[in-house]
Amino acid sequence: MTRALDSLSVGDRAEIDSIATDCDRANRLASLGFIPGRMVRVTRFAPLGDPISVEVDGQEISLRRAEAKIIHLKNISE
Amino acid sequence: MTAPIQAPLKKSTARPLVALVGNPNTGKSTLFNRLTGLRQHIANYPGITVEKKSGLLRAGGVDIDLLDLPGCYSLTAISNDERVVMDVLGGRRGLQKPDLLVFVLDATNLKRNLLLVSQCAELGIPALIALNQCDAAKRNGIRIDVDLLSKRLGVPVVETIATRGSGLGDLKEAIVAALNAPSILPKIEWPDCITHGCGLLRAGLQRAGSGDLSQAEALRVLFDSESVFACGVSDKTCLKKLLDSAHSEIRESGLNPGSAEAVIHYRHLESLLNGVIEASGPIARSHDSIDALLLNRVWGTLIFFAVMYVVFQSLYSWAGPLMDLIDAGTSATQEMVRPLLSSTPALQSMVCDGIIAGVGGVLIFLPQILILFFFIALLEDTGYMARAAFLVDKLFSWCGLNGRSFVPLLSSYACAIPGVMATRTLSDPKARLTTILMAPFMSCSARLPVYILLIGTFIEPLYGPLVAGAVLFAMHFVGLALALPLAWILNRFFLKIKTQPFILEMPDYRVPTLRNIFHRMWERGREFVLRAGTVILAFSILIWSLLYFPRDPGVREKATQSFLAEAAASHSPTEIQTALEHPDSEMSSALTHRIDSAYIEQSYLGRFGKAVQPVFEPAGFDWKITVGVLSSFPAREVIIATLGIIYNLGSDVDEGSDDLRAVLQKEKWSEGPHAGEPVFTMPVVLGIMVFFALCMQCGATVAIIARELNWRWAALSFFGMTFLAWLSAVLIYQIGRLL
Repeated sequence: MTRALDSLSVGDRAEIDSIATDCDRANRLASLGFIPGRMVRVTRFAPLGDPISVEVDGQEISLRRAEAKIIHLKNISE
Repeated sequence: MTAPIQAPLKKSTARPLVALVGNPNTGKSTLFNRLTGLRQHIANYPGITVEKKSGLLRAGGVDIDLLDLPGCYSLTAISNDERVVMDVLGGRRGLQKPDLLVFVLDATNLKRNLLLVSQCAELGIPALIALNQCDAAKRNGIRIDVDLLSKRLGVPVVETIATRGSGLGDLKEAIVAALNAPSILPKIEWPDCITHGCGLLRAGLQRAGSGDLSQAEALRVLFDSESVFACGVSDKTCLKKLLDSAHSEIRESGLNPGSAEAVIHYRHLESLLNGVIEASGPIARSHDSIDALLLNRVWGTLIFFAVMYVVFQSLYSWAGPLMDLIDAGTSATQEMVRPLLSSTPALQSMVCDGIIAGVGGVLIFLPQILILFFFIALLEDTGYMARAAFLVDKLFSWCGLNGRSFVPLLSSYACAIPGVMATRTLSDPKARLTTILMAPFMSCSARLPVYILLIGTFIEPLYGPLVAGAVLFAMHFVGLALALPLAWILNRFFLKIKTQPFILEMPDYRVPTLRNIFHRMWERGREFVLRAGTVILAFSILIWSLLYFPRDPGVREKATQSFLAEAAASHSPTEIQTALEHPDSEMSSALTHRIDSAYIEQSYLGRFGKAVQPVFEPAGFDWKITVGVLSSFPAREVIIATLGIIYNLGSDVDEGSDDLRAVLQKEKWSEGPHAGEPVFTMPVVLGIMVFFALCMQCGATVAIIARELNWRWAALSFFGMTFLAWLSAVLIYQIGRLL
């Protein structure tokens, strides 16, 4: 079963399964390293819950939940 | 001897063009500053508000034009920055195509940085790599085999540490060498579905006769339907059909067309970097423990507000002494020049009250601009700015702004000029536009004297200091309370610009260098004085002339006569004569004030004020308030001095002046339906304050918005805010009268 990145809690790790087709945002996310097969880990939420900060490919990226929603994950370890 | 003469001649006169290309936060601009020093030129790319920074690089006896392209993560044209990069690299829109690309890469995040390099390989432009921040990479336990990297990429790789200036000599040598013996990056091998899609696109467009794309251009269009190259295709429906079928082919081979490009490049890069990067154990990142504190829900928020408090305080208070100094310098210069031109009063007034006051009015903004950019450079260079944006993004995201809007809006509480300039830190054009339009709504320090004068004169005596303080506090939120919903409406219904995803890289924390910070301050200060300053000066001279002319000598005579007639009622003729013979006597200065007041009333602006007074009638403004309001359009802080002149007190009054307060309290309508009633009733007072809170009474802000966006937006902002201010004042007065 796949889940989207915005449903994870702080500290959860997962593998990127796919990025829902949405050319612009998929493109930007993929350029920054969000590509299928890589691991992501949620490092923290902003004080107001959004955006969230995640670690991917050795770098830390912050993104809004609206963008996190299109990143689908598998092999989630909570 | 038959070789064409023209070609070599042209080549020897034109300087080679070298462009610095790279991701944001790689130290690219620092490297650019190091290479060019102060021999820089900043302009905008034609038709777009993206900064074009170019400079002269002297290396090995050769003069080279160096271009600092905006930082970008990929060639996909999502933002204007990326569009410009693509325009330059493609030599489009009349821009010169670079002879050499110097990729500035962050050694601590090599793989992601190489994505752009890999994309650019397709363009076939000679290249060279500057591997920057090697020191940080070493500290993080990353070892890079530079020779192997250079061999695999097929282009020279030079190690640099831009912040310390090391490796610069090698880089310069490498640039000169690469210009003489260029080497290009090898193109990657595309899977069949991509090459096929590309072929499909090219052939289809050619057949339809709506464009002839090269292989490299077709690739960009295939991966990015909004690419600058797609704009050149005339038949959009044909393009869309071709793209749809090419994309479905990509999808059939198991790739997402949106992310396919990056996926393929990263796959290629992973094998390219195999054996090049050696990380000793897990990569140690310096920022984890600092982030645990700075991004903590409680402590992070507290530290954020503490940092912003310091920024604001320094703008609001610390800039004061410097501004006073500039003010004093302006007055001293005026007083020095005034006697020299006393034989020609019109010229004297133009030079002193128009030009010198105007130059002073430009320079007065410099302290706040320099202080703000000191902090912005500091916050960005340390890496805190991205964290600050992360912390408060949610406060702004609902109305189309983002976390990076905070600093510009906060600074606008001191002054909108540095605030608008600070929006350069927003890369999303839509959020930047909205932030710029909202900035003048923040209650800047120039509005304070108006609030203090009116609250001190009318509210404090009636309701006491507690209410007065509360009203003063509330006045600072009127603009904000209106601006945020307006931003939401603007974004929701009017702005047709695509929203960009707000995705931020959290850069490593770094120790900033003073050199870099001062460079930023110098750059911004210079730009303000040269570009916006000239417009502000022109405004200032224009308004001066509207307040000075036509200067009919009959006005002076008439004012003098009526003054003497009044004086004769209570003084003997000899008393009057002796008093007027002494220019320092009370009566002489009263006469001067009366004449000044009469001249203002008879000036073009004064006449205009009287003519448009009916417009302000529904807000309860008499002609004096109207002229005061109109004359403060160039700069709202002049209202106090103008009121002083209008009420015969001279321009030398301030918001605490008892005389002015007494006059305002006593002022009654002299004619019309309200004749005999006091002018300044509570609804009028509140109306004036709200009017000043919302109105764009600042020529300098109009000029800076025109500079940062264009004149159309500046005009919209000016008229929109003025209308809003008028409407609010009318509503307050009308509702207030009913109560």
